[in-house]
Amino acid sequence: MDFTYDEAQHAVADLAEQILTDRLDTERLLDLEAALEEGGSWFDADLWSALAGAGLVGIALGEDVGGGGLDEVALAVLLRAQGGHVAPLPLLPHLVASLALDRLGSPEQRADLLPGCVDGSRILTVAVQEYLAEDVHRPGLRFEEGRLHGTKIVVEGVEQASQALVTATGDAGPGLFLVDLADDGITRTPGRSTRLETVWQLDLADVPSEPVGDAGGVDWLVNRLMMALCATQLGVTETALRLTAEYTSQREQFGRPLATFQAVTQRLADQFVNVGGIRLATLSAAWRLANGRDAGEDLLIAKWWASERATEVANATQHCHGGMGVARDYPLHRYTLWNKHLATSLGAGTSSLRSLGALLAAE
Amino acid sequence: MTDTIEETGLSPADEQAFADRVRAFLEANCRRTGDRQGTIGDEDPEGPSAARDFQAALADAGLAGLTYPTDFGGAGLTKRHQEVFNREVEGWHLPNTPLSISHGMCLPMLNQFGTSEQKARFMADNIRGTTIWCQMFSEPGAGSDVASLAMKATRDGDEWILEGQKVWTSGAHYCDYGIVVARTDPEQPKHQGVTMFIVDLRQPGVEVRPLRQISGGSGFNEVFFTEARTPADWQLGDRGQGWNLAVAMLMFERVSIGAGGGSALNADRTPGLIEAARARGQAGDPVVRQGLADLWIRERIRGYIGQRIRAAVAEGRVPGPEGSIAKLNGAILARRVRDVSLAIAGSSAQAWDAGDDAGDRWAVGCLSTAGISIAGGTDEVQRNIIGERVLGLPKEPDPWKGTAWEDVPRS
Repeated sequence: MDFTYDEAQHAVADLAEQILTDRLDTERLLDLEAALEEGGSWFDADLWSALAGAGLVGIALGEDVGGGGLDEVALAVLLRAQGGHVAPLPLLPHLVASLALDRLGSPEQRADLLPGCVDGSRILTVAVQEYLAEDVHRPGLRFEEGRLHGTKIVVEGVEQASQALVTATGDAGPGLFLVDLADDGITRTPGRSTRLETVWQLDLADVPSEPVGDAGGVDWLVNRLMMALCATQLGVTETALRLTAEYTSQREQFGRPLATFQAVTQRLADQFVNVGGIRLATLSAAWRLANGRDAGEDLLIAKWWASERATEVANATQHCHGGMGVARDYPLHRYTLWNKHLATSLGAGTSSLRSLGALLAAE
Repeated sequence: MTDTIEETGLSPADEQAFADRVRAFLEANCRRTGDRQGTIGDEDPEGPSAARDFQAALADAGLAGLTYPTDFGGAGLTKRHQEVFNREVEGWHLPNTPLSISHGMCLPMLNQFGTSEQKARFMADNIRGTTIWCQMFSEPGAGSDVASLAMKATRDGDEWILEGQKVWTSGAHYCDYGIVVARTDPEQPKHQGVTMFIVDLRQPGVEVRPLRQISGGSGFNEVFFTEARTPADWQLGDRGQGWNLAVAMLMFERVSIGAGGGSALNADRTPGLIEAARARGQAGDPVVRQGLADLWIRERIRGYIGQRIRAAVAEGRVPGPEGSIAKLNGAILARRVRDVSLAIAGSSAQAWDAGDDAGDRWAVGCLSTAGISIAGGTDEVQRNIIGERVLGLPKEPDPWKGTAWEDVPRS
């Protein structure tokens, strides 16, 4: 791969960028946030319809179910655009869950659920994380005789989604299981994430469920989730850096633009390198996943950059904005909030380092 | 290292008696610190009135304004008493954070630079928390370059008329008085044409508008002055000396951010984090252990820096560039605390129960860390001060040096 988009990927990027730019300016975000405080949901329904209507929500799904027939790289391109605009949508869990269903699901599951996933009328989510469990590859939630028992946390998009893809361990080992979120056996408890999104704890008591795919599904899913998180964070850090370059070029102190102070310029140049690291590692991982190659190392490298170095980007961009970096009236704070949410998803940088160390030592 | 009676003016028995008094007060009025983290700009809405009540009780017990003279409402005690007090309050939560600027910056300025009339009029109420004070330097166009401030003060008989805007004013929404710097002589170079004033904030010409910040709180404000007035004899220091006084006040601020004894912002966080690491089964993780050990060392060093500076302040000296060292060190430490906390918390750093106060407070603390590197002079400003005033490096050339403020172009 040469790290440049091909024609189809360019088309996805341009289309997503155009829709997001047209429909999501600062004013719209402020309106959505005000509605959120009044009990509304973290979901721009109009934007969702526009993205689905343009064929983007199903871009990586099979053409037989109406999808765009593209792959993980297209998914990364789309999420990068979402991150760049901090668009409040459960796009990531939906894209990854529907991709899993497309690639691993039975013909019945695909025919039943995927057309709705493409046109946006059906939203899926994933339930992966558990309390005090850093290793998402070995879920503690149990699958016994067709039913799920246990607890998942930080589940996104529960208000919009009809089904969740849940990781669980049964007699045959870890696997993916589909549940209907309307089931009576599910108790939902809301929490709040750093980026103001409502996230849910799901307590599953004897919830009927059907498996999706065979053994190995959990690793498959977690790999895509990691890549998707990094891709979103790529967009977040790119825009945060651009906003900071603009701000420090305009803001004058001591009779000149802040950007002409070396302490500022050099710190921002370091951030350009950090963002570049996230970009290359993420696109490489996406390309390997799309082409059936082992992406283990690249994913851990990307996740480390996207946790540790993206945090540096967040700190530097916020700092170089001075007081404006903490003001809610100025857009930058959203990027800091998203960064923190994403950096800690599926474990912070330390756990990536630990896994990478184990991987290298095993070779 | 034992202090002799000659050095401290306090016999071991007296010291013990004083420590017992402090301890008795704490047990009656305060609670033990949990894993509480102090923040900048985030205050609980009950804070100011609780702080006023607490401070009044402290004053009734003879423990407020320890080293300030009794004539002006202080306790008239020695710096040794202050040290004993600081030692005793470690591990206790004192609900007086809303008074930290009032007492950490405004009170020493009144004491150091106020006329006897000003001291007699203002200090006792300030010490007791009957009035709360804030500091007003920053303006939309004057952040790091605060000396370029544009707020205008014009003489009108026995009064000054204040016109302009201040910003990032912590606590202005609950304060009674402010210490403000304004431009009285625009034909002078920027550092020489400003004067410091005490101003009554409860007047029609002053409008306070809260700013919403990233953590959701609103501890900062914009303050608009429209024909606000202040009596001529409320001027602090001489006309045109405002910048020197502002620098002194900023040093008090830096000390209070980086070296304030007993404040929540400066409480040692390592013990709480060790507990958290144990609870999450991470106390054996080498990366986490290394982070904790590093923090513990740095908190020790912060303690020593703070001790040294507080001793100087208690003796009535204005802190010098060591205030910048304390402030920079405090900001770096706060970031490390945040990073180690994130590593320990893992996915619980991502989301928390809506009703979980600990999670909420913790997240707010995390998000507020960035502000510590900004407030009271950015890290870059502190490094420049250390470079120029401690290391004696040449100053950065200023093409506008000596030019009248009004002739310098401004965006």
